[in-house]
Amino acid sequence: MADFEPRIVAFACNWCSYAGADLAGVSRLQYPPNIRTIRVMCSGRVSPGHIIRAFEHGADGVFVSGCHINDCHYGFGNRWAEKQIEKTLKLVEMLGIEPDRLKLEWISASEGEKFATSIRTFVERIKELGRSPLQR
Amino acid sequence: MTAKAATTGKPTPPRGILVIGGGVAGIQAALDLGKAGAKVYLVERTPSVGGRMAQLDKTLPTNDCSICILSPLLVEALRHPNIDLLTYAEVTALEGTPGNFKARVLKRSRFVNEHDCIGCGVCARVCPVSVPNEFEAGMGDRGAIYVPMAQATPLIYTIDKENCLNFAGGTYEPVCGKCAEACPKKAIDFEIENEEIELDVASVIVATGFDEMNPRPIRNLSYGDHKDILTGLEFERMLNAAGPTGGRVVKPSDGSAPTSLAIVQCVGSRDERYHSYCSRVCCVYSVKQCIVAKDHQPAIKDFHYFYRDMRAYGRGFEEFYHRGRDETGVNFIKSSPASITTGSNDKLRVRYEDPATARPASVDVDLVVLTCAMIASAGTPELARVLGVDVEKDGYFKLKDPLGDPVASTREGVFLCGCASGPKDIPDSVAQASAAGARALAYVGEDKSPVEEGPLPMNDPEEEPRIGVFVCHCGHNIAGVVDSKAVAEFAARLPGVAYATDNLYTCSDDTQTKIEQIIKRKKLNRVVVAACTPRTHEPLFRETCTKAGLNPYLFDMANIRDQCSWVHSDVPEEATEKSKDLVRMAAFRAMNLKPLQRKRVEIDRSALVLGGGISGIQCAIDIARQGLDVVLIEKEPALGGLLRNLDHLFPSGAAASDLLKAKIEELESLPIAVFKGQEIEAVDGFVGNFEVKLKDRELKTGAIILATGGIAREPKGRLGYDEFDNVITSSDFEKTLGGTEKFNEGEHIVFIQCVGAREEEGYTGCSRYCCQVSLKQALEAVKRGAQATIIHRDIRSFTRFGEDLYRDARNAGVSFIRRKDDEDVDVRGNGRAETLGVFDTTLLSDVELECDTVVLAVPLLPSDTTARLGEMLRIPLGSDGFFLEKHIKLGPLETNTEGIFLCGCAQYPKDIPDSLAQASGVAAKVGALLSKPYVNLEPATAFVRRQLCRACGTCVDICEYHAPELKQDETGEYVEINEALCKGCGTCASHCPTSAIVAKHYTDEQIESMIDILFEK
Ligand code: FES
Repeated sequence: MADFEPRIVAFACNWCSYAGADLAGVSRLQYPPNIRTIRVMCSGRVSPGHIIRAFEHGADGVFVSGCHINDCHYGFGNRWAEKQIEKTLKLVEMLGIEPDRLKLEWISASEGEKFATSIRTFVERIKELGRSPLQR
Repeated sequence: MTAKAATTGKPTPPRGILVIGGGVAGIQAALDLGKAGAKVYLVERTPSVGGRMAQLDKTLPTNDCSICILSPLLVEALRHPNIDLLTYAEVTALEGTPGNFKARVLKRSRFVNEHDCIGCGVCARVCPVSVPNEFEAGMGDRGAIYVPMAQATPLIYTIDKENCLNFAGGTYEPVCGKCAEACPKKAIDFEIENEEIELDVASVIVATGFDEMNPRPIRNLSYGDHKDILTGLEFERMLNAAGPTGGRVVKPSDGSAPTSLAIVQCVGSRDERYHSYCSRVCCVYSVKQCIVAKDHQPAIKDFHYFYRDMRAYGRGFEEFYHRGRDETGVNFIKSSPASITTGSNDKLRVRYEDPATARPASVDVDLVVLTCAMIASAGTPELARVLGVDVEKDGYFKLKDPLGDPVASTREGVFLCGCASGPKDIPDSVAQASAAGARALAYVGEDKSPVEEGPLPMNDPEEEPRIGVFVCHCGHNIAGVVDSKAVAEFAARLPGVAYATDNLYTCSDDTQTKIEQIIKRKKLNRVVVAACTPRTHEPLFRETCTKAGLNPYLFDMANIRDQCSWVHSDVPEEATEKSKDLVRMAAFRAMNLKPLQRKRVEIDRSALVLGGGISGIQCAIDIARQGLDVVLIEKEPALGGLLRNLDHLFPSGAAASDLLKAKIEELESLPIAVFKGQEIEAVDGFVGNFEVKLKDRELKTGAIILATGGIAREPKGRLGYDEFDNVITSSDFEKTLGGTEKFNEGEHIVFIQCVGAREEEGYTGCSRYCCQVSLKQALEAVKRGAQATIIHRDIRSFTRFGEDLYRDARNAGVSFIRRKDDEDVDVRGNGRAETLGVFDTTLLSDVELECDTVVLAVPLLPSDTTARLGEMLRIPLGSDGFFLEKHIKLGPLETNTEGIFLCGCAQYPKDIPDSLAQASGVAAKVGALLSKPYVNLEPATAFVRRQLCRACGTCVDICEYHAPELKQDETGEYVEINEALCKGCGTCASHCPTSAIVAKHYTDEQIESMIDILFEK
């Protein structure tokens, strides 16, 4: 399916990653328009429920991003997020979804470039995987 | 703008405080003052604020992203109603007397109307000029119209007259005009003139920072001859992801990846030919650069790091230095390179004396970084003349009393902070900034008006939603890619939407008025703006909602510029589709938003200082001077703390007892309640409302300050301390020096440094003050006829004038032996210590010394009460056992718990000036906190639905702020979240196994509504 355009939900924490995404914009770095970002205060706010819901409703991929370890605005929210994602990955697999469809990335407010590249790579990977098994 | 009102004279604005310099120190001072209710004029010479810190990539030792932690402060300062930001401006005169100065400020023309510029950058793209960008330390280019960096605050473009074609002849002659044509807001006007502003100010804070020395004159290091030799700041920009190379480490000569690097310390610092002082920050920032460089460019295999003394004196620095050595593999070479020349294969050859063999050696590397001296910022002498203050001979502003008052200049009412008075790292600079703020504040008297925050308008959450959607064109920025009109039309058809429109500039003043009217007229009860980023604009739109009588939490934004039109400019159709989705998501979230009310809690406008050492005393004084009630509690029967063990003080030679006496007299002259021989037994409550139990009484207080100091423990079992009477500690020797007695001719006093500090086990850090103490004592002993030797690992005389002391000691004949890091000194004797055996790393042999007295420099450790207090107040301790500050860089004076502060050695060992600066700094924080009779709690916190809570305690484990608390009543166990402690991150909510916790404003419902609508067919 050459013209498959994946639908991706991204979560970004307000303090680092969302700012990094803004910087990508200020620097006019281009990336594919497949993501829809939900801003949360901290990556720790993202729960397995949110991720699974996104998959169930039609997401082909879910991208979660937060501050680098030790940079979390609230101390260790991102460490908790990391554990949550590990847990969620198991659930995702149980649902028959390829684990690569869920990605966690640490992106700081100065890493506009990293934000853009991460999205590019992620979208490419999802394109390889094709439509989510839950949507086929 | 209030500044303008000042020129016309009537009505006279309140006397303000002038802050000069918009780096992190100036910004910090301005924010503290603004919050305390003072009117602040922040004058910055360059077009934007942020200073040096904005140029840095990471801050150490946590490798936090520098701009990430700085920019929220910049935005806060920009938006603060009490702060007038005067950028691209200079102070030209200061007349009058303390409390009643008149300052004149020249605001240079940007040739861009500040009010109209939206920072889109279209102008810069068409500018035909290209000049080196100062902000990129000359490594990147910019146009004649520019902002220094993408995240500039304020984001207003500036035409630099020097380089603009239209000013080639000095005066304006229209030649080019490309930018003016391109500007969508027609904000460019080549005829805007400079503006003179007169300000009434009560006091002045100078925070002009530093410059990096140009190492060109040091000919043997060849800077400027070879492109692959960079300065520390240039390298920092190269490491920055937003810098000229996008964070890639490359050889500027050919763009290839380097595999080896040399770092050279003390270039121009600690060198009497250039700058004799220590620049204080270079040793560790270079370690950070190695770690980050390796991260960005794994191809780098070798780091040759040339240094003289490794001055890793701050919290976590020693460990950071080891990380560089052990994890990144930095090869630390204690040697100063003799020359840098062109080597073979385009490499650079560094020649030096190999400390391991004491023979000449050389190494070829791809890239060399020279960590150059920090020098007083350009223009210091002129500014000093304008302000009528003195400068030191090393070029920095002069402190009147560097020991007893770390922020006072030589003119009353003018204060110094940050690097204006000498090199400093970030935490020391911000602590000083707050200290200068506290002092400056004392001059404004009653001219204070803290920003009042009344209750928010509330709406009925159950009312049928009537959403208003405003889609922005942002000139061409959005509409050039996204079909804003189509998005607005799409929005109009969404369920719940009562009104939708598109605006050219949604953020402009007139649009705010329009939105306000529409909210009222159309009876909107939810508002969505689709425009730029909520990070900068949400506060503005929320304000507009509030004005229109709408609860500001019933507002949401869709980011269709920074995260849409700007990043998808090549696919306009998809960008438009994405915008529609984002608007739809925001509208659905809006439907589920609930009005929130700030909770106002009355507070007790008093403070309680724990610890009556010099820090506690100073802190109490500065709080009392603001007219607030203060209680000081000391556990010993007498005040004075550690200072009571000291004799004479460096650098002034003043008697410690005199300093202490003066401070105690000042304390006693103020209405401060002092309780000696008392300790706190229990604490309850939260910010503004603490209840403290002492032995015989209970106190209520709004703020608690930990000034509990440290303690120098006896070095039991070390270096003959138990065996020999003549092996003593520095504080014992301080008593010996107490008199004026001479020593016997040739009596040999040997000092051993780092006894129990910088060790693998136990206290791993540096105790920061001991080198200075031993240098001072050794010099004094030599003056009184003795011989002195200091056995050390590195001499860390990094403080202001510390290097002079080191030089004086050497010149007076004090001997120095650098021992190995991992080998102790062998102390031998019979009844008395007689000889010492040590390996001298300079002579590369074992040496034997006879000694009459051995003085052990022991580190300062946390005082006995620290652990207990930490537990009681729930203040975490660092791995070193001292109280942990809120943020290692920007929050040195606060703790994780709002309303509890710390200063002096309670945080970690410090000398007197640094302790005093912190103490005064805390006073400013307390002043800001207690400026109003209430505090407002952030409404977007979490709460527990009691019926669902099973009291599993997961949230209690997660929360860094101890907001969730296990409780019990007749019906059983449950958790309650203390709103006063919750910061609203929502991590607990996503972890609650029964979904009992609701994170307000980011509820599951709200998040899920966005997901659901996105995939709705
Ligand atoms: S705030 Fe960014 S991950 Fe916690």
